[in-house]
Amino acid sequence: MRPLIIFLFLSTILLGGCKSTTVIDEYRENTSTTLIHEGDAIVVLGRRNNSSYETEFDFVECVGRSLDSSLSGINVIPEQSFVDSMYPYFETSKAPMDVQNLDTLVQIPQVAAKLNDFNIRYFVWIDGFTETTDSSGAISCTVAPTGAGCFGFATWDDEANYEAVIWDFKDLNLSGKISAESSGTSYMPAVIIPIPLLARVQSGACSSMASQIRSFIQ
Amino acid sequence: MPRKTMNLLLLGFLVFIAGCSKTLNLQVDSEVPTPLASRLPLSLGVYYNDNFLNYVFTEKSEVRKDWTIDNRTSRMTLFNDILPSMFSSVNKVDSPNSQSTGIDIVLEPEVLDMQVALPEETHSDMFEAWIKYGIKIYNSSGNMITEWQITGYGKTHTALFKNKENGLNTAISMALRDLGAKMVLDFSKVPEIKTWLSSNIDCTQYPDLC
Repeated sequence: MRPLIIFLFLSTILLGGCKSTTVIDEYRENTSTTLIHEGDAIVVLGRRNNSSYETEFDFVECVGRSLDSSLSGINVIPEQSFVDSMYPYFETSKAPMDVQNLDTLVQIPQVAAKLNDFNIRYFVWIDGFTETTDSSGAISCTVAPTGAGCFGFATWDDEANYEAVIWDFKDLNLSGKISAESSGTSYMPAVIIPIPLLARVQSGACSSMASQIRSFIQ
Repeated sequence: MPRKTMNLLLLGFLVFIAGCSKTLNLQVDSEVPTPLASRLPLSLGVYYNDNFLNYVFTEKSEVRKDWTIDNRTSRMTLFNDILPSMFSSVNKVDSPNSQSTGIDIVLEPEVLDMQVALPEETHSDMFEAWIKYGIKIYNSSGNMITEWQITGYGKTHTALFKNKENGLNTAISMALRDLGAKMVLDFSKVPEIKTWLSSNIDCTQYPDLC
């Protein structure tokens, strides 16, 4: 009975330690016009012009998917499909960096026509990344003719920092900014089999950011 | 030791060796979307010289033993897709000075340089690629207007189990895509070309180009 209690106690501590915390901050430029209507579209894009990191495609996709599943009647355009359709105007080196550049871009008839076809109301630009900030411990694995197994303990800290900038295409202005900071510690004990107890840092940042964008534009 | 165990150990060793291999033989596979662009009112002649048709990136250094990256098909596809969206007509010519009738301007592209970087070399978690092209531009009399140099850059984030072939293929594809974007959007902004355009097209009809 005692080993079971110890096992449950340790498991509770480890699982509790895997929790990630997320802090969301919002800045709203204009409170009166930020509303989306049925039939409007929104596109979520990643900023990738920083040389030291790259906003992950899967994070941008995750935010887009979360918005798509929670905004009924609103079309969320997938990033790659939008960038391909608008080629070459939304390539990393050519994409508009601020809303004034977007104003210049819509003076080009082909660009204006394509954006109207999409019926876009909002552009959401996401910039940021997730990184492992600290790690410790070690796991060693051995393969022998009689069998294989691992032993050890490893732990690491992840941090996610993202900012979403929202442009209103109808009014051609900056609607606001949302930032998400998430952190958490993951553990991997290994007794024959490694058991990963992962803090869902990036997915926590994704769901929190999507939820905040949803409340921002509705 | 039983034969089955021996075979398993040998297989594991071969997988391990393959993972550490320093050789690379990559055939780049990529394509670019059709550009959203208005065509210049010009008939283009394009001359693909030997460098453009045959350039293959090779390296035989200590850390990159027998590296070969072949993107001949991808760059030909890029030019075949991009140029018709930039000019009202495109024809291949046999020489940059061919002075063919009906040709307003001739392009002669060549690969000047190509570089790639692996995550372990740059201590980042990205595969990167740079490709530099020189494009010689001639008027219909065969005189060179300018040599325009453009560089395409592409990078891709490392992912778990993404090998160097996949990582470099994606980075090079993105570099080619970047080159295509710069060709479409920057061609008429090159000062010598802008000057040439202003005296060779109807500026009242195309004021943005003059």
